[in-house]
Amino acid sequence: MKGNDRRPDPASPGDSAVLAEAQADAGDGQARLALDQAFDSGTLYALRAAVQAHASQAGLPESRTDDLVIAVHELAANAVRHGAGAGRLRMWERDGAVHCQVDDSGSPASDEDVGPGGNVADRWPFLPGHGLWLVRLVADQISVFSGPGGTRAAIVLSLSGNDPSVPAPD
Amino acid sequence: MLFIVSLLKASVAAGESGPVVMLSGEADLASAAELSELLTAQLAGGAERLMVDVSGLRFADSASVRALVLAGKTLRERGGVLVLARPQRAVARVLELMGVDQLLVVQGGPAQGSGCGAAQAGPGPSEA
Repeated sequence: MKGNDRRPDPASPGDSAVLAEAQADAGDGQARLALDQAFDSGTLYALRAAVQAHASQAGLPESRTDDLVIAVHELAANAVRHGAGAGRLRMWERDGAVHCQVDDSGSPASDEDVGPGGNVADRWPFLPGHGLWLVRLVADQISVFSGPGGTRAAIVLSLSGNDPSVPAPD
Repeated sequence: MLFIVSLLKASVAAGESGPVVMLSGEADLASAAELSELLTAQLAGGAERLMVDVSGLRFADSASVRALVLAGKTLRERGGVLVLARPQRAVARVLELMGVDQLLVVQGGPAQGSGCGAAQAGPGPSEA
């Protein structure tokens, strides 16, 4: 393995802000931050194990747990390969869905890769067979934003298998 | 021969119709290059059939599957075949999502009768 020893600083600034954001984002639903874990190329296996354990705990069916582990791994692997070489996963449950957010502090995508609002999801190489293609196949929602501070990829998987992006009828 | 590459364990044995590579543990981008080297080394002898027994593999990511697909492509070009034997549920799911059941021969495995894209509810074996 040719990875370096750079490890994310677990006490890096901004964590509390993200947690607050997650909690504020909860609105009427209840958000519980289930997992907050740094990763690099040498610790992806531990990340997968933690995601699997927490997804099962949250009540995600086995096959969806597999999908979540696959999706989070591919996002994290992307951060390792193409981003800063390391990153951080936050995972929480809200309104019947599991939310995962993968941040890396790598150099942002070039300006021409960034669409309106900084969303690069449509410009990423979502080619058939590519890791990010898998993420798009299994996640109910995906968004990827790139800015000066790095890249943030977020996915949502509903606990029930229903797409949470479809609003409930009034 | 025994190789230990991060969480991936690999061993090679001579089978009746070509080498058999046994993979176990977890295969991800940390081991993909080594996996690729291992497969390439097995192909160097001119084998036309390579069996990769993945029954002990708990997880494989897209980088690992890509290494298998590339080996399969080399074999196809010489009229051979790569057979992926007995994938566990999570590995079978990645193979299905990547659509590589068209590129490799997948034999056996817990995901009975699947292969039609939808999130299947097959009665996979319960495993730790």
